[in-house]
Amino acid sequence: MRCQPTDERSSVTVVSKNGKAVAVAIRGSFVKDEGISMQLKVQLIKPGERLPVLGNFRKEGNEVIFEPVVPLTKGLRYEVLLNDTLLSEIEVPLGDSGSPALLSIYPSQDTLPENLLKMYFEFSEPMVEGSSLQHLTLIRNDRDTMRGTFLDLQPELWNSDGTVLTLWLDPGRIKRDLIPNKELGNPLKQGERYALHVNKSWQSKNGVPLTKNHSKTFVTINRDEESPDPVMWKVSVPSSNNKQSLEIQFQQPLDYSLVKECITILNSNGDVVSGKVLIADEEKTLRFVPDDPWTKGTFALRIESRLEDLAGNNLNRPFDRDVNKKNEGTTQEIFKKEFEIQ
Amino acid sequence: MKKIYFFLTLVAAGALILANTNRHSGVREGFVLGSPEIKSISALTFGPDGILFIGDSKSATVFALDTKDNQKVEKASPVDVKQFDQKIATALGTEVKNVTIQDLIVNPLSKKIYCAVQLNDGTPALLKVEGAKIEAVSLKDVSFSKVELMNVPGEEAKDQRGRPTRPLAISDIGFFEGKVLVSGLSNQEFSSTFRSIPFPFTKTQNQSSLEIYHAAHKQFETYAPIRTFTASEINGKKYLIASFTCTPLVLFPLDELKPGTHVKGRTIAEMGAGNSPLDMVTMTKNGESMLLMSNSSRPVFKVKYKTIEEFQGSLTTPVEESFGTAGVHFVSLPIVNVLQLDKLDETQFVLLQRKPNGDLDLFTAPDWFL
Repeated sequence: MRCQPTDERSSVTVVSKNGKAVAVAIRGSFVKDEGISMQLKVQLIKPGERLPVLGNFRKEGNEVIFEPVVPLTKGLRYEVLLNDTLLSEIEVPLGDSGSPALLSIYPSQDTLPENLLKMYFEFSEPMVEGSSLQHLTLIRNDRDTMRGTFLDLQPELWNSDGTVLTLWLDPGRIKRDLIPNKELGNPLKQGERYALHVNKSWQSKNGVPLTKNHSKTFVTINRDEESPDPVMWKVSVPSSNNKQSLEIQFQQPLDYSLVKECITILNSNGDVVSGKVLIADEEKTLRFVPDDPWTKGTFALRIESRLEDLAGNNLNRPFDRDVNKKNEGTTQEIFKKEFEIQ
Repeated sequence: MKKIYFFLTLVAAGALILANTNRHSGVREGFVLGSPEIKSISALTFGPDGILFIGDSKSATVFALDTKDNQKVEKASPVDVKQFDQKIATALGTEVKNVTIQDLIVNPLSKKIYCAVQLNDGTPALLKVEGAKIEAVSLKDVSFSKVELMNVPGEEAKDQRGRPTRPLAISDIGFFEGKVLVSGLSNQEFSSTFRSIPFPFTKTQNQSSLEIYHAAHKQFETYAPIRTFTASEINGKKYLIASFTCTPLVLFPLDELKPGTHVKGRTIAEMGAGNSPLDMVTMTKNGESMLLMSNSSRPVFKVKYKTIEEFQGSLTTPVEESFGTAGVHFVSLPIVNVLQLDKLDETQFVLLQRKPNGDLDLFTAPDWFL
């Protein structure tokens, strides 16, 4: 922030809150004037026409506070005018916002089915939304730049705090025999090598780009057309009177986002056992650490049928099903798998 | 600008006094005075008497805002704002690269244009356009009500930490015969939700799952996400008219959209793969109603309601030709790259169009286009 007061008694300062320039405080002998708010303007300094920034002026003690409709932009310069005469120029400081980091890309495995349905990108900070695909490049076999792999959805699918993005691989291209699939082919092809590059140009909502480029390399294998089957899951049961983790091995990686939410543990009364869920082993294992020690009795995994594997096959039906075949899939909403704690 | 703010403050103060003595009734039943915590503005639509519905994906909430902008104007003045995004950026004191226009609609009473904007830092803003003038619509000390979409009755799924799950992205919002209609897309499963919420808001929310036969695809596209929709009466029956990615146009009978039901739509047109519909609006000319639809990779389409009424079939066989079309006849208007579209008055519609030189212009199209 820089202030250039026109006289000793006037000053203009940027007021920040939660790292955002939410207001401008204007001091000076003129503040006491009736209708002072009508005489002040804040404008962005730029070539061409300058117009007053939308916002609200109010008097607060010996200051006039200007609250713009949206926070002033970091790194930009503004002028404060009193009766169309320059009072001061200010620059909104870039601040010391930390650089955002791309923490993980899910699925974690480096071997993925060719009908992979979605990917998740987890960041350390809320990121700019709406232009994600501009920062991603998918290269096949170090040679071909792939286009139209991901579905361009607006609004983009971010979690509520803006740190996790879900991207879909175009489902029309994944379903066999559909026209996009026939014309353009599956977005990924079996037996190929891919590198997904994330450009460091991607900025956080604070306007700070990633510190470095990221890449995820993977190879593709055959399609996964089977629904996950809880019967096949291996449950390692702890003993009673301790808080050891319960471990569920799925025998295959499951969807990172859904697996955290679709599985709960019920006690013999059918009540939810509280505890922490950890996803490990490249999304092939769930570890559940109870808040209270285990007690003896019959417990159950409560599994919502919407749980999916990497190819979008849920517990009821494969993602890509032949609708002409009868009786394929079920409509059960909740699956249960019991286990005993001794 | 400042005058507006002073005026709004006075109105708010006046309303505060009124609120202390009178409870709101009628369409404003349940409205309170305050500052709604709007985290994002994904979609807008107007309801009765100047009430603006704001679809907030981030908080999975629909807000009803009393704009008090309810003076009826029959004929709107044409609008022509060149470099609209640039002007919005200047008005907000920032650069155009920091601004995304989320939605643009017309108040059917006052004919004023409302525009939802999001900044790169995530801050939403609601603006009003009058002529070439851009004003802010205050979201502080206003009369509003809201309904949260996450805790739908029967959907009690919560994770172990007790937080509600299943946030959704609101793809479109509409108001039809006393109900707020909301289409949303989960950020987890590839599934579409459609909600019909009586207004004034109560605890009732009807949620249905919709299924379509997508003739560009060879199979049922269960739960495909609606990109844009409108509602209308066709042959005396009320329908949701929805369009999806790859552009099927589908009718769902509104009376079948009941809680927990699974409704199969009737696909009446395939308007071409490799495209997403962006906006849909109904216009009337010489007593004849027509649907206008803007698209990501196609020009604006015009479909006469009469041809929709005459088309009794349902497309169930695939379109064999790549990017081919089928079903109800439609006309491509000579207007491309239209990002936003709404009815301005009985004879005009407004367009937000990306020009070949890259400019984003807001202007009025006269009815000779129709």
